[in-house]
Order: sequence, then C-alpha cells, then structure tokens
Amino acid sequence: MRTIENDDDLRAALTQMDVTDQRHVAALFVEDVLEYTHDSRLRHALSVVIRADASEAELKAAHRTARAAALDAHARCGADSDWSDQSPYFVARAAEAATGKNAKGTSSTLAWLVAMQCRMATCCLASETDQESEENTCSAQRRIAAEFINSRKDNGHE
Amino acid sequence: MSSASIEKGIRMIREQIDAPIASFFSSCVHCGMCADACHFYVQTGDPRYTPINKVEPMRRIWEQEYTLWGRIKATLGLSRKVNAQDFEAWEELVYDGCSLCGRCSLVCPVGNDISDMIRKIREGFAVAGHAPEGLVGATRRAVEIGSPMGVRLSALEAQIRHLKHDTGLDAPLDQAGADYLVLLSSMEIMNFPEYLEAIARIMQQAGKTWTISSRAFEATNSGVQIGVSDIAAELVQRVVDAAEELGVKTVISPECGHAYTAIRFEGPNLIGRPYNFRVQHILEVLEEFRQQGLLKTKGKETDRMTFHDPCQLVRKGGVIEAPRNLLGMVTDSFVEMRDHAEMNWCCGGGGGVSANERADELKSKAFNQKKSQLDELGVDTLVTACANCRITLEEGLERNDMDIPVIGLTEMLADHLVEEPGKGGET
Amino acid sequence: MTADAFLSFARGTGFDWALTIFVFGMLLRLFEVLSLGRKPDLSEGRGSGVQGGLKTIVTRTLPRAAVFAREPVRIINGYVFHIGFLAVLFLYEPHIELFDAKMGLSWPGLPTGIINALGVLTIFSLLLALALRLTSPVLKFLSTGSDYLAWLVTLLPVLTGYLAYNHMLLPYTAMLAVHILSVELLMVVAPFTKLTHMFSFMLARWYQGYRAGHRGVES
Repeated sequence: MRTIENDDDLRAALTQMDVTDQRHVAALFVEDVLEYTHDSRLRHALSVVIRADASEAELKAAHRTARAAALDAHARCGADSDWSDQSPYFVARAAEAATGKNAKGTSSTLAWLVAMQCRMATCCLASETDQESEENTCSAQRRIAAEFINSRKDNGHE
Repeated sequence: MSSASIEKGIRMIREQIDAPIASFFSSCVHCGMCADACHFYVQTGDPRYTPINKVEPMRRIWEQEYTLWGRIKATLGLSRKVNAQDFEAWEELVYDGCSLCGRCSLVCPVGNDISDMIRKIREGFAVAGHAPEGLVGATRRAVEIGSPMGVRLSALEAQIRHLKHDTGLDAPLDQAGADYLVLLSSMEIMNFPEYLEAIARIMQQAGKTWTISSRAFEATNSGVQIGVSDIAAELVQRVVDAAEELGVKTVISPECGHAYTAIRFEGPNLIGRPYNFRVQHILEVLEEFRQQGLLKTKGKETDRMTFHDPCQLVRKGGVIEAPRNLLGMVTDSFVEMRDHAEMNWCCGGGGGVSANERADELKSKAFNQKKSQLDELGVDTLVTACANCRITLEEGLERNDMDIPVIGLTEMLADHLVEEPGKGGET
Repeated sequence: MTADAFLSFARGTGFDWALTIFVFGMLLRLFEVLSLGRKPDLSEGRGSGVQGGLKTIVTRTLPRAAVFAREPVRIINGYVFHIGFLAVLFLYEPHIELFDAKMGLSWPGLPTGIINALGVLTIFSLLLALALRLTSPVLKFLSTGSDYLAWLVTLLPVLTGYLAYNHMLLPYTAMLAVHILSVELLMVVAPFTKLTHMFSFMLARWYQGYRAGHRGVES
C-alpha cells in the first residue's frame, strides 16, 4: 500500500505518471475543492477528464468550458475585488489546467500545477491566522494521489 | 456637471499646454494618418476615433488662448468656447476610445506625440468630473487602500504563506538593504500569483536579495491612467519613500506596461525630483541576469509561439530586445507578428480601458486587430509580459473561439529554471 | 489699372507687405509656441534627447511600412506634392534670380521643361489631395474651412505660374501679376492656417524625438 507523506513525495509520484493519469488525479484534486464554486460547468468538465473513454474533442470542449469559467470568475483590472472571493477563480483555473493538453514549461507537471491552483483556492478562504484549511487541502491531495496509485495497482496497471 | 467644474476642467487643460503641445497643434495638417495607426478607428471605421480628433477641445483652448489669431477669432465670435456639451461628447473618445498605446504618435508625419496629448487632456476631463466611473473607483481605492482593486496586505501575506508552505521559497517583507524592491500589480496578486513564485525562484537562482514593501507593494498608477497628476504623484511618492527607507538599489516594476512608464519616466517628474535608486522593468532585470549568466534554463518549448508586446514597454519604455532574447532561451519556435515591437498593435485594454466597464464592447471590437494578427500567424501559444494584456487577450481569444493559451514570460522562464541542489525550492 | 501697373504693384508694395506679414506672422507663431516652454525631464535618461530630436527631424520624413501599406496613394501623393512644389519654387531659374536679388543667394536650377512638367504633376497631386479629402471618411470628418483655404492658396501659385509660363488664359504680363499676387496671398494666409507646419514640423519632431531619445525608444 503506497502512502504519500509530504509534498516531495507527492510531486515525485505525480511526475512519474503519464499525462492521462495526471489529468485524472488532477481532476480529483479539483473535485476536492469544487465546493468553493457555484459554477456547475466545472463539474461537467471534470467528469469528462475522469471518464476513461473521453475523446479528444470532448476533452477540448471541457477545456474550453473551464477556461470560460475562469475568465468569468477573474478579478477585473481596476475593479473593486476581494481576495476572499477569488476561490472560484482558482478552482476554475485548476480545472482549466486539468483539462489542458500539457503543462507548460518543463519542470512543472500538469497535476502539480493543478494541485497548486487548488491550494490557492483554499488559501483565499483561509483567514489571516488560520492555515488549517490549506493544510487540509494538501493532505487531501496526498491522500487522493496515493489512493489513485493504489487503485491502479489493484487493477493491475503497474 | 456644474459650470464651475467645467471651468476647472478648461483651466486644467490650459495648464497642460506647453511648447511641445503648441508645436503639435501648430503642425497638424489634418492628414488623417493617425487614424490608420489606431485600432479603435481601424476596427470601427468611425472617424471620431481619429486620434487627433480626441484632443479637439484642447486644440480649441490652445488656439483661443495661446494664439493671437485665435484670440481675434474668438473676440469676433468666429470660434466657439469649449463647453459642457463638448466634455460630454469627448469623454468617451478620451477614455473609452484610447488605450494610450502611442502608435499614432509614431506614425504622425509631422511628429506630433498625440498619445501624450490625450494623456494630458485627461487631466482636464478628470477634474471636470468627466472620467468613467470604473477609473474613478480604481483611483479612489488606490489612494485609500493602496491598490486600485482594493487588494490589502493580508491578501499578499496569505500568498506569501502559501509560497513558503508549498515551495519552501520566501518573499521577504520589508527587508532593509535588499538588492531589489519588487513591486506587484493587483492583477498579479488577484489572478496570477504564479508571478510571485516565479520571482522568488529566479531571485534564488540568481543569488540576489529582494524584498516587498508592506507599505507600497502596488506598482500600478491609476492617477496616471485617469489623468490626475496630484494623485499620480502621491502614489509614486509611496514607492519612493519605501525604496528609500529600505535602502534598496533597484526597484523592479512588474509585468505591467503602464506601471513601468509611470514609475520609471513619469515618476520623477511627478514628484519633482530624481530618484536615488534605479527603476527597471522585470524583463530588463531578467535580461541583465541572462547577460551575467545568472539565469540558467533547461529545455525548450516546442509549441509555435509569438510575443505580444505591451505597448507601454515597446513604444514608451524601450524594452524591445529583452523579451526576445529571453524567449530565445526557452524556445526555438518563436515567430513574430507582422506588426511587432514598436509597431505592435494594442490588445485594446490598456490606458485604463479595461478598468472602464462601459468600454467593454468597444474594447472587444478593438481586439479584432490583434485577432487578425494572430489569425495570420497561426500560433499555439501567446506569450506576453503584462497581466492586463494577458487577461484582455484571454478574453478576446475566448470570445472569438480561438484556442491559444496566454502565458506570462517571467513565469515561463521560471518554469524552465535549472533547479540547483541545496538551493531549496522544488526538487 | 494697366497690366504693367498691376505687375509693378505686385512686385513692389504688394510683395513687401506680404513678405512682412509672412515673416512677422511666422515669427509670432513660433514665439507663441516657444514662449510656453517646457519642464526639464527629471527621469534618468537611457539615451540622448538631443540626438533623438535631431534624428527624428530627419527620419520622420519617411513613413513606417505598416502605415504605408494602408495608405500608399495618400502617402505617395504627399511626396509628389511636396517635392514638386519645392522644386518648382526653388529650382526654377527666374525664382532663383528673385532669391538672388532679394537675399544675394543663388544655386543651380532645373531646365524649364522639367519644371513645367513638375508643375503639372504638382497641380494633379493637389487635385488628387482634394479628391481624397472629399471622399475619405476620416479626411472629410477632420477637414475645416481652413483646410480648404490652405489647399486653395497653395494651388493658385502653382496653377497661375503654369498658366503664365505657357501663356495661357491671360496675356503674360497680366498672368504674371496674378501669379505674384497669388504667391502673396499664400504668404499672407500661411501664418494663420495649418501652413505654419512648414516651420513648426521641425519643433514637433524635435520635441517628440527628444523625449524618445531620452527614454531610449523608437521615434
């Protein structure tokens, strides 16, 4: 039974996955913080990623949906905005990355980027002194990744 | 608007007129070339958006007050004084229909700096109460809260905690004697926190010390955009005070076009004295690091990429080569748009346009200029160096069903950094 | 008034008055500009303002490719007019003799056949300029009575000069007098219209170029 204790382990585990698996785990990460947004489009977009038989066209459409959600939720330049209201934006950005083709850059893996966006979504909600919730998100991500790896093993993928 | 505020507006416009402005009005031959340089005219076909027409009220004030012939004409009743209706009619042209991109200034055959004239006429419109609500709000928040978007220090502190927690990197607040004082735009804090992480990683690799001031972390200057020099000066002064108090050598303006020209070139003139520190745009700093071998990257992007030049950087700030050299480190498939560098077309959202909600429809029309540039090129990825351009581009692409991701250059470089063991950060 | 008396007025008193108004009018206009002054730039420069200013006075004479592509006809016509007008004014032998007589300066001219052809070309470029001004939405929108007046007083000297040289419409002496009067009209009108750009363009280019040079940006 694989366990993931810290972020270094998490990142290493994510790096070893192929893009399809990364997307799957990433989608699970986003689902974990989905309660922070009311945008119902995102749930649908994520369900496409999680489905094993999703076609390229479906993935593309899901990605577009997530991006539209992110743009709808962004803080407008010069507009009165509130950091604690930014969670839905970061959830949507996470979903956008989770449905995208590849992580940009070389040192970041797609799923890690999504993990960071999800943590940012929690970070907005955490009060000035309370780091608890972001820590909860981190440990949830480690658990989700470990469970995913274990379920793949059980199904004879490795 | 009361006639008193209109009088104030007229007086303010009169105060803006100096020898350069007078030489520009004296030289205009109504050739109309500036219209062809302006995305607002080109995309709407409406001649009212001809750049020189946007300063017509200022021309009349100049003629009637600063030329003998104009005074005679006014006395004889041959010319009409600027009135409240003119302010009413021109407000939309001066704010919604101009992103202060400066392209018109570059093509004017007699050399008129039309963009600067529009920047100046805004001073009169703002004081007369004829500025768009969105910009008025942003300016008020910039003065009262320290950010046009109302971003408070606690938001930045939350991000710094996140940064430490998830990457082990630090963004030190108020560290006296650091090499660099880093400024941020509210857009970066709210929408693109990746920028802060990128800075932290790059500074660590370069071995430079840096800090953010808890009192003056905002780089943008709404006073410049709306055209209220007193407020613009106050916002600049906050940064100057912080930089001097912390004793930093260099202040870094972030990936934002107008923030750079505001602090770098307008700033000393606004506060009435030179600085005792340098101001650099982040891309200039990165280019210096590259030249000094302090920026080590690995891997190259394979996507076909192009760079959207933020107008203020290329036309008013002179940062042209840096982004291209930096892009060269991380991609071999870089292509230029037909009109690029100093002739680049604006995204449509600069100069306060994107803070002005009622200008949305016009902004989307103006974006079609960018769209046609991109359609012609067919790229997979668009890179830029301004958070406002970035969102404006993303929105425009989305509206036009174009699937092109937009990335910030600093962030892209940080993604390619060679991680050195023992230096912390990501492994 | 006989044609001869008419001509001698045009050459004498008329010319002196016109020249006085032209010179003092233009000096006044330039004084009105320069006396407004400008504040020194306190920002740290990246380059030389003086170099930028001087450079821009010259380089702004050429159009940027991106704009040329959009308006080739208007831009080429602008060159044809300016080159034609200046050549006819400064390179026609009798004109040079006039400058020599008034200022003691002379230079070689062009053969009259070429001047004659350039005159025709200049007239056509002015007609095209008017056509463009009346048909282009932007130009039509921007144009004021003063623009059309400036066009007219610019056309008349070229047109009457051509007619006089080719002995058309009026007897030569009368047409020459009309020609000189039309030049005087141009000189009188110039300081009070956009024709001031003939001198002030250098100031405008200088100021923009100076600022660009200081900042180290293109101009």
